Amino acid sequence: MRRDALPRRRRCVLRLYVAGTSPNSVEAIANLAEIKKRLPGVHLHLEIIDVFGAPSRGLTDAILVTPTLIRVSPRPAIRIVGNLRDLDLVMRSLELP
Amino acid sequence: MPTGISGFDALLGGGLPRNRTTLVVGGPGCGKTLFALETLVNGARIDGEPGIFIAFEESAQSIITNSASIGWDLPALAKKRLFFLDARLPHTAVMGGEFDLLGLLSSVELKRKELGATRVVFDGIDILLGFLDDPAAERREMYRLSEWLGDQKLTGLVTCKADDGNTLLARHGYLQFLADCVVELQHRLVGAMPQRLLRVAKCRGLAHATGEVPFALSDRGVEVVSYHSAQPMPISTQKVSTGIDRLDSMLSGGVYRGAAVLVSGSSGTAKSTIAARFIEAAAQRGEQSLYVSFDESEGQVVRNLASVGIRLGPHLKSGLLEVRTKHRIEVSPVEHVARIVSRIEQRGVRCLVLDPVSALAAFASVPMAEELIGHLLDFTRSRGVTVLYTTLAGLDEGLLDETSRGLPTLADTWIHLSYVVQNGERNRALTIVKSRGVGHSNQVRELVLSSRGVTLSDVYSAGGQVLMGTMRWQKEAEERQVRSLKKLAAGRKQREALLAVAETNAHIATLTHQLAGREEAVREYSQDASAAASHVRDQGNDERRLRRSDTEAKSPRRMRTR
Repeated sequence: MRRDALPRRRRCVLRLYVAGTSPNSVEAIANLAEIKKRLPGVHLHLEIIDVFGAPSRGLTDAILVTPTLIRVSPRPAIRIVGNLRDLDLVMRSLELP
Repeated sequence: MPTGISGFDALLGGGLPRNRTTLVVGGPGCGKTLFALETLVNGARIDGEPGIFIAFEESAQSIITNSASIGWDLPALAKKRLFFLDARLPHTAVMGGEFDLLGLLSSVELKRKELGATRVVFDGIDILLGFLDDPAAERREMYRLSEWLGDQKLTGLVTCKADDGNTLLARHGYLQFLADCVVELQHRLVGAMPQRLLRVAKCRGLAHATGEVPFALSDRGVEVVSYHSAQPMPISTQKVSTGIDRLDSMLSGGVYRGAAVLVSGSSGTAKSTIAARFIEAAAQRGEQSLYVSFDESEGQVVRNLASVGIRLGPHLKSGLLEVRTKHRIEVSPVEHVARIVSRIEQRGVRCLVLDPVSALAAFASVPMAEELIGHLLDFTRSRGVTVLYTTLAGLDEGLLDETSRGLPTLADTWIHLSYVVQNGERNRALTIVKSRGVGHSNQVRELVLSSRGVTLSDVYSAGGQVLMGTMRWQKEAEERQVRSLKKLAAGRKQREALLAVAETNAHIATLTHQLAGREEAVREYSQDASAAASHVRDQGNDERRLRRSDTEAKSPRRMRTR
């Protein structure tokens, strides 16, 4: 049985790159949590990567600015930079309902 | 920290401040990227300092490709000592609010540790900051960057676009205060000629040159034409021959080594010939020499000079002499001057000719040409290179036309050549207008060119007129004739006098002879007389003796009174 065929239960893998506890990073984490709360019907899988802890990840994934949010799946990848303050814009950009 | 950029480090007394932020500002196409890149490359190649290049505007690959014409071999360097980070935000990225550079900085820190890098370039930081769309946030990030550089013990070069002039966009104005050192690059058209200028606008804690200096972007990278030297210039008392004996004697033995000699004159006054004679003499002395012609090719120069007995060919072959020619559009004037300088350094050139520098003004602007020459002469003076440069002066007797009015102030010795038109002839006159620190003749000489070479002749003034050419020759011939007539006359008179002396001597000899004869006769007569007298006396005495005369005593007295 194909997963994405589940009715109303869409799967989305997000990766958020943050820089320790810098204000923008903290805000991005909070904003993403809010989005998740608003979309109970969407299965959001979220991975948070702290570039201070894993700088090589920042380098290999070409993270220039923090915070950066990447929709890893479904393809194509979508990249959103910034603290995600505009929730509607973020949801629209991630093609979430 | 030396940038290794030709001519630049001297402006700052050695280089950029280490572990500080240097801002490189300039309009599009100014050479900001190349300037920053070259600093990094030179660090890696010359000083063995690894570096990191972060490209915000172009892809790292295109930067490597664009600089392929410069002999840096970036791909090889990029494998070992240099790291290029492609830091363009993908154009598909969505701006979702305020961000910071912490992610980037942590990546760079990792690379710094890996490579042991000491230099880092942030090229086109304004592009990334532009996405922030918030001046306060931009400022915060730049201060963060600057502090971070200090913490990391990295010397940072940050390039940033300026508007058309060389001022930063108003929103980036704070960068001037944030950076410890600001280098402004400008690219503007002067007339039809593009001109690049560089200026160190500020540098905390370092004395630096503040004026604008020309620079070029060439296949050797950035070349700044400025040769300010912190060391005092060497002062030479050694004289260098101009190659023309009479000219040397007019200059009390020649010009000082390291001096700049200007030869001005209108077209065809033999400026090039004098210049070439100077360089030929230098080569004959075994000195490395360089002849830069701005309007003729090497072949033309050699051929034309052979007609006045100046043979450059052998010296070209032996490698003592080099002739460089400048083709109008080939390279920019700044680049050309930079190349002359590097040739002087490479070959240890002692004597240099620039012929004519007025041609520079034709494809640069006049002030720019003068500035370039000024920089070049600063350099040659500091190295003790003796320079002879020529400039075209108008046909009128005004010494120089407008295009070269500033040139004489740069010269230590100024020789002016002019035409004197007389009796359907045009002759060349040479005058020394000035010569610093050298006693010099203030007389006009006629410059005579022949297949035997270049010579100077005295000129005659007659009736308030200076005589040259045929008239001089006539005058000389006349004088020669008068001299020979005088010589003939004197010879005749001498001979007459000698004859008279001989006659007199002969006369004296005859008279002496006569005298001797007469004296002889006198002696003979007197002997006869005395013999006769003694005979008479002897007879008388005998008589008296016989007669016992008493008058015996009286007879000598009688004889004495006879």
